[in-house]
Amino acid sequence: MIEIKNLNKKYGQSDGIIDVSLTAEPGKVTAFLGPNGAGKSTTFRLLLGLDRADSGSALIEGKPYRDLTAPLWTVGAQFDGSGAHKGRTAKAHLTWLAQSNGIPHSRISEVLELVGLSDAARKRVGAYSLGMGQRLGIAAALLGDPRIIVLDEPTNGLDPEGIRWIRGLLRTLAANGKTVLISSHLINEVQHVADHIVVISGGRIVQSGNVDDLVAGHHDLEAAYFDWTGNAAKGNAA
Amino acid sequence: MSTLVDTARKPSLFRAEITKLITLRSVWITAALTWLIVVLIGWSQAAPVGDALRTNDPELAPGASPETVGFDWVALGLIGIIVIGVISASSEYVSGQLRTSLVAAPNRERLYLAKCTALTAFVTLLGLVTIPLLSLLSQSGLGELSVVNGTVPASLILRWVGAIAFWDAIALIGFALGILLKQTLIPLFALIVVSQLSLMLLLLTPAFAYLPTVAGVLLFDPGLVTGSYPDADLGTLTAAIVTFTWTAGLVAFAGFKFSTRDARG
Repeated sequence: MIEIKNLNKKYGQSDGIIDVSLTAEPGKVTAFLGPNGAGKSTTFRLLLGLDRADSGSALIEGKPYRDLTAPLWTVGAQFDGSGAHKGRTAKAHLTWLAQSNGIPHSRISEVLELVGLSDAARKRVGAYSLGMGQRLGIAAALLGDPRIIVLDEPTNGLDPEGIRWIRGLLRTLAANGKTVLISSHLINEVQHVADHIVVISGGRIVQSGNVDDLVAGHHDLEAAYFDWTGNAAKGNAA
Repeated sequence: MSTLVDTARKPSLFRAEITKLITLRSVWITAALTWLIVVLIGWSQAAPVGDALRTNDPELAPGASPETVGFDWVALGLIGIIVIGVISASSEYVSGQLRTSLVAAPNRERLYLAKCTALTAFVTLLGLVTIPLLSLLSQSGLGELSVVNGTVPASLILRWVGAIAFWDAIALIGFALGILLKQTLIPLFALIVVSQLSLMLLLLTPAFAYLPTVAGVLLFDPGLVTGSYPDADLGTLTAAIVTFTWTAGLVAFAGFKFSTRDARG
């Protein structure tokens, strides 16, 4: 379970995020939907303790991320790309991650197999395509078989086959009782995989709820999304 | 059927940081070249230096003695040590690596400590396989002037310890600057220039003896400094305190910044 309450963060003169609250529950895919620069990654950075919030709280199973010991057993996270130094091989990258959290070495080949990178395990990450880097980031997130998965724009750089694969993976993880939180700016993607969506625009949450309930009264999610974000933009301008 | 959790091992940030270091090609190539160049040059220069000592050649560096032959190449190896120290820090600020490190190890103080410890262990090991070998090969070229006659004198072993401590200190200073500046080039350039020019700076004032790159040399080969600049003789204890203070101060300050700033890497 992820619980974010009234989170605020400013970076210099930019607004960052304002009063963001959201909950992601086990067994569901929760999608954080919004345009680029809306505050999705900022929220994830605060959730994972990478940046400090000005106010509010972001808890994972009741604790701030920084209080978790060996967190990869609880949370698997991936930001845009592999998150690996380009000079290392995928295997070396996953090896140090496993050592840092006491994850058995045998798990490395399992996750590489799962994301389809077994044959490229000894290749340097610098030689990877965008999609391969994305798959490596996902392999790292799954390394500790965590209960909670947080993926920032997971379909970025994936080809159609990869996108289909990630949809299946996310649905399987949720079906296995995991808490899955993803961010995306792709409305169609969200509609395909999410049970629950939280829409952010200009750093503020503008809508939140089950996909079917939210779309009711609109032609589709895309029409609904532009209604919400358009209204938010007008509200911000006012 | 056992689950993944049943097969869990003890988490070790130290092991993880050692793996990070040795799986960076730039680090191990630098380490291998440092070892090779220092040992080869030291070995090839031993006999000519021995001849110069025997004949009191005026070309010989002031302060040179049979026991310290070879130690001037420790300063050459320092370039490699600076590269390793800086890269061990700056590699975190490439390709989103720092985000991954902090997601795996959110306790920043522990992560920082593990990084410092791993770097120190790596450089100490490199020093252990380089400096005694450099010294012994140099001694072997001295013939009857060699101070190693069956046994290695304790004073020579102390010089080895001092030289390895010097390498450790400078690697950690390079690491701290890499963390503070979040990049490779500026700390690398600044430290290499300072380390290679610091003896010349003593021409301006003996106060430059308080630079870690000078005080550190006083730990293993004071004659290299005091032979030309007698006013720069701080004494071993003061030199050790000066080197330690620079290292601990910069490492602590960089650690504070690492722990408290947002991880925009």
